[in-house]
Amino acid sequence: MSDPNVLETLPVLPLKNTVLFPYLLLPLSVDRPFSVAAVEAALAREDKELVVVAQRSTSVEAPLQSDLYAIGTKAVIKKTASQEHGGLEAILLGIERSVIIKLEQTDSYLQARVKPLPLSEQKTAEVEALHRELLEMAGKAMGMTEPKAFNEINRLLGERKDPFRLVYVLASMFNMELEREQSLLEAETPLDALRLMHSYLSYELQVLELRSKIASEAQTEMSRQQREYLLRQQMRAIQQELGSKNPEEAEVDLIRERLQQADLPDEIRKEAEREVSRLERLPAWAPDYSVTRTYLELLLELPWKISIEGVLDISKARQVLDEDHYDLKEIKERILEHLGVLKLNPVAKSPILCFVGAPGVGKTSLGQSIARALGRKFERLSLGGMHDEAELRGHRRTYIGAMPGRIIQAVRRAGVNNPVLMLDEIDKLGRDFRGDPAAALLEILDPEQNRTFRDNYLDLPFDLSRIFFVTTANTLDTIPRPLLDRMEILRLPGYSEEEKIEIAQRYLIPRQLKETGLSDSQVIITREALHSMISRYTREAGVRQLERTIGRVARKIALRHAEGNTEPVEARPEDLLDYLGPQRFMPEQTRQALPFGVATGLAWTETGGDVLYVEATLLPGSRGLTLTGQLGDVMQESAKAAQSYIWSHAESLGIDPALFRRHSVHIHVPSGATPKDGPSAGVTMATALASLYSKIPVRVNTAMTGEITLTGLVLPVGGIKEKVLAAHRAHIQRVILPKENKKDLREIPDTVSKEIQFVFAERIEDVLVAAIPELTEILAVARAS
Amino acid sequence: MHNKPRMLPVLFSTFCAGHRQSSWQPAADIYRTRTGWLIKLDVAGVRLEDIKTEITATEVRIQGCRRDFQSVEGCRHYSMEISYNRFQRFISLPCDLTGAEVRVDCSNGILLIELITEGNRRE
Repeated sequence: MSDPNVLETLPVLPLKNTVLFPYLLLPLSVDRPFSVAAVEAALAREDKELVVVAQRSTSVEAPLQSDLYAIGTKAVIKKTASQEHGGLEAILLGIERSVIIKLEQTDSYLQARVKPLPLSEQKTAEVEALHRELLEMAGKAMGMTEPKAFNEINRLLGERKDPFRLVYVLASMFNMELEREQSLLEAETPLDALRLMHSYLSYELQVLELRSKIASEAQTEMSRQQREYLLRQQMRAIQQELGSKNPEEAEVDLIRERLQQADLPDEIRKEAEREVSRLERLPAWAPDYSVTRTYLELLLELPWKISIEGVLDISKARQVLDEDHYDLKEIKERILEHLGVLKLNPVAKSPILCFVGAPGVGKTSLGQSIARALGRKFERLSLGGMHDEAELRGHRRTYIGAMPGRIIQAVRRAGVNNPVLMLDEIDKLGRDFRGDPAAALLEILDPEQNRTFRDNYLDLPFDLSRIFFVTTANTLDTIPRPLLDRMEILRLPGYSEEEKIEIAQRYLIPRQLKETGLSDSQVIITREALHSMISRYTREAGVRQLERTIGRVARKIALRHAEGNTEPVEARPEDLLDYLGPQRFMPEQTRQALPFGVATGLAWTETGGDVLYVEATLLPGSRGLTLTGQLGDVMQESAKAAQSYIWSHAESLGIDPALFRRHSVHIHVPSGATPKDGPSAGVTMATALASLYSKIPVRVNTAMTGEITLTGLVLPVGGIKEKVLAAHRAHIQRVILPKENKKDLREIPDTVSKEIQFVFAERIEDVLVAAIPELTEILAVARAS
Repeated sequence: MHNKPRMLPVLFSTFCAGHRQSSWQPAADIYRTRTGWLIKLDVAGVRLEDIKTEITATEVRIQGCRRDFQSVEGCRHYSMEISYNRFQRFISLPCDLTGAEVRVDCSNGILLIELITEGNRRE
């Protein structure tokens, strides 16, 4: 240590942004000319000493005394090396604190009169405590910043017992501002220095802890994002290698390309282009991206201008219809009429046909045949149970999961704008608070409106007018009136037994054999067996049940073949018990002998026609008319009309009027569980009553139908074909019909009409004469009188 | 803010090189002799009057100061590697040095310190 009272003159090296502490080395590069001069002056001294002082401001290039701190450090130059550009590198070792008494300017550098400022010593408990605390904190901080060097540094720090040294070493290790370093250097006592360092270090430690916390939190997020980024980059690289773009761009490009190739009306193209440019701006992860893309795909897939222009050949169409369907002459004729119009005038509005008939009579397959005959695509959708208007018309695109309506979807599936579109079960449309799908159908099925059909999803007009609509229904009763008005109704009557046998042989048996894997040489189902299946195992107007029954027989035979018994099998009626079990239906047996008061009627049911018997009996006491057998209002009224007619004409029928006074009448119509209604049993009931009062039985094998009026007129009724077929099934030889129904006989197959004798009645007397021949004479007498 | 990590190697060099004072340490060879110890110290260029040698019971303490001199008038340092200014070297030896005789000599810039321990002293 130099003598504190001796002044020395030393070159001054101002430092811009650091402080040199005693005991510590400081490597630095000296560039400023006056600094280089100062160092050279020091080197010229035999002790190589100079004084290092920090500058108050880093921006001052030529500092004066006021720009420098008063307290600096005397240092000795340990090493120097000249640099090419004139500066030098030097390593300084701090020796002791010095205070600058006076700064002097020489030719080229600053020099100062300096006085040593020795460090005071202090050994109090507080100093010791702070010293240890600082050591611990420094250890912690080092552990966080320099974990590798931690142990070594900690050991070295621990060796230092001098508080000043510890403070100086720590100050040089941590990032401290110049002001703080300077105030450490200026600290009078160890306690001051330790306190300053402590306050700094505790703040620094907090910052470090916070930093490591943030770092560890950020780490997870960073590594996830980095991974994703890396994978995306790799994917991009792979795609570039393969010559493709990234998937989103490629997708938009693909759509644009399709848009350019697509043949769209101008209005649609404009809208589509707007949507594509919107899609380009959207990032792939945006929810709207997929919505827009799906919409565009629909737009591009819809057949705006695509249609199949098949050459319409009427004779070929007739051939197709005949191939696919047996009989149905009138329906085919009506269909061909429409096709004829379409041939002559291709831009004519397509008709909207409605097939009405019992299940299984071939409504759906007729639709397919029409498509085949026209050479057009066939699409079908079932309206059964549909109760939401939006299902037909679609949802607005603003809704999540919005889709176009079923009509637009069907057109999209068809891929052409003129398919045959079958709307099944139009009579089974539901309706609820969500709207009435029937009302939506009004627009769709109206040729005037459907030219610009606007689906809610699509929100662009689509021309439905070229679609050939075909609807089906089991009954017309539930179809709303306005809807019915828009359609051309074609009724498909039930099939006769003969027709069913034909259908079975032509279509059902081959189909079922094909399905079971049998060849037609292996199985022969005889005509008699078919007959038995139709009458004993099924009761229907169509042929669905019959087909299933044939299928069951075919499977039984297939099983036998699979078990190894490969002989050809002939299915006869007597074998059916084995194949199908006991008979399911006992056809209403033709009663061989009818007691008086019983007459045979004919009824129309949804599953075809049926034979029914009207039974009347006299009861003691005059309590009026009792009607049983689930008769509806109309049927009850027609029973009353029949009774009134018989009473009023008792004399001409040779009936004792006393009977009316003494007896009441009960009329029953089996089977009692089936509800019946309609006026067509009027003549049957009149005949039964006439037989009852005259005590003459009605002729067996004679059935009748017709409405009766109070004056005895016989009015025409519907369902003649079904009724006659039912009579034929029941082996009835004579059928009495209203005269005006004579025209309906054209529908009846010749095979049937040949076997039945038809009697046409204008008045009830004609019926009675035909049904009860014994009354002929009496009536003749009455007429004569 | 200046760049502080560079201080770390500096810190090491201070700890390893400097002992208790901010001064440099000359290199030393130590020999055992028949009569005691011989210490050679590399203090070239140090004037003999600037060296102070002390002996305690276990240590030989050599302190001094190397002052530079200019052999040619008007020259400038191009680079400097020799340590100047104060130096000190405390050498502890594994024997009692109380009463030992010390002879200090200088030969070609090497300081020779011969220690003749008590029992070997030539009377």
